Amino acid sequence: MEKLGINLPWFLAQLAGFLIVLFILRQFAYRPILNMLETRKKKIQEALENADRVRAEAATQQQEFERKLDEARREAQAVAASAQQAAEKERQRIIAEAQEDAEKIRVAARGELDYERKQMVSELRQQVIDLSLLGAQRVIGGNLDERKSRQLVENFLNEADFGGTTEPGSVANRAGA
Amino acid sequence: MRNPKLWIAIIALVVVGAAIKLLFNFSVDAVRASVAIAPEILFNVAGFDVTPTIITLVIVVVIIILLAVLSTRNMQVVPSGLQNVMETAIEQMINLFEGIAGPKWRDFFTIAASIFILVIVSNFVGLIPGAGSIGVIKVGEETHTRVENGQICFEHDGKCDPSGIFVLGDAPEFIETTSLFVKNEIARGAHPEEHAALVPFLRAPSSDINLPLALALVSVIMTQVYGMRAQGLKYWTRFFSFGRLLKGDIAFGLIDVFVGIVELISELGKIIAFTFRLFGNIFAGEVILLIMAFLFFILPIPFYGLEFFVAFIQAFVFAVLTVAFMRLATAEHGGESHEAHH
Repeated sequence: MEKLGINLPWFLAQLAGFLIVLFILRQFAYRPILNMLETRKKKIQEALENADRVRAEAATQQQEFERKLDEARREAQAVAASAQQAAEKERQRIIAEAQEDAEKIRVAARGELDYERKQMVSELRQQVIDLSLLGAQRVIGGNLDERKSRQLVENFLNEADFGGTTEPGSVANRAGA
Repeated sequence: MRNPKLWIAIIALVVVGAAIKLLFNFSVDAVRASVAIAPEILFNVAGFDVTPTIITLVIVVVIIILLAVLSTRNMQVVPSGLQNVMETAIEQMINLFEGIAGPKWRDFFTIAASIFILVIVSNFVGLIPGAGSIGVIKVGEETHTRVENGQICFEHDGKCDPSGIFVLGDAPEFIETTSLFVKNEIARGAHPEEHAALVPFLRAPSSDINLPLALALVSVIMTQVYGMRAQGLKYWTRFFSFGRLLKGDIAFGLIDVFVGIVELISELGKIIAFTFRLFGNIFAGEVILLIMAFLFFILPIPFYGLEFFVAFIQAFVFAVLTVAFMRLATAEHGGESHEAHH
């Protein structure tokens, strides 16, 4: 024991050193650090749970947003489609109106034309009658019964179907022929 | 000049060294290597012999107190600096002890972790350059030296062999001079035993057998305490089981008694194993570094690395074995228990 250097005062000094270290470490290192590790663990757990919750919330919100966005998109599409339909209808209406107007104008124009032609035909008829009567008077060289002759020519013209009642085309055709 | 702090430190060291040299006029000549198992005595305070190991232990305790107090002085949930280091160290120990002892680690943590921290810090402090090599030379009858013509000389074949050590003053029994320990006195043909001994200021506390012994006793005694706390008086049947013998079962009863005796011896063996494992490794490490320094000046460097490793491993082994033994003692055992030694 002597040779190894074991002796009570030295042993007690070393033991005291260890016990001081033990006490100090327990008081100033282990307790606060173990507590800190525990609180940190709890905090991290809480933070992770929070993060999970927030993530879930975000996911539901995202879904909500997407749903709303979809809805809005659909609405917009519906609005656009209805607008297009309305525009198409309007277009059809305008075209139809225009066609109707054009038709009216054409009918009016044709009616006027008809009237003028009829006028012209009746005038032409009068002239033809007058001319033919004049010609006949010259040929005969005398007086003709004005009224009777006129009636005769008129009858002839009517028989020849060359009157104001006939179609303009047929008149033109016959006149041309 | 990338790191100005380093240069300032180097210059400061040189200045401090020069100042010490001028003040104390120390010798850089060698005396003999002091390979003493028992720690040398530096001085005496009120009847208490102060040894280098005790001085070093005081320094170690101060370092540990500073570490503990400074690291937890201002605890933050988000750790930084010293707190981070300390927390990491303690967390690593928790993981280690939890791996060995399971959920019981909390019971054993204070003792095992304190042993680990004390042993590793004292081993590392013992490895600081200068520890073991800077000290005072004690000259006295027991070192076969005397003073002649103002010089220490060593009695060698009846002649007085001056070592060239500068003597600061005359003291009747001890002539003291500070010395850096660098040269090999054995080369001069003198027997090492015949020389004055260098007593270092600092020496690894674990190289004084009293510290390993104290730690081993704490470890083994607390193991018994925890064992009894866990199992009550039944714990002692591990060592003294006369139950079957008293019932009349002579054959198995005797086996039980014998097993108990073996257990008792192994428990005492634990104290010795703990003590000499730590003491032997650290003491041998010091001796190896010393011898390598004598062989060739650059040779201690690889061994220095090895000693760092040993310093850690010994602390680790001491703490781990303590936890393992405590776990075994607190576990229910059906009369037999298997323990691993070393």
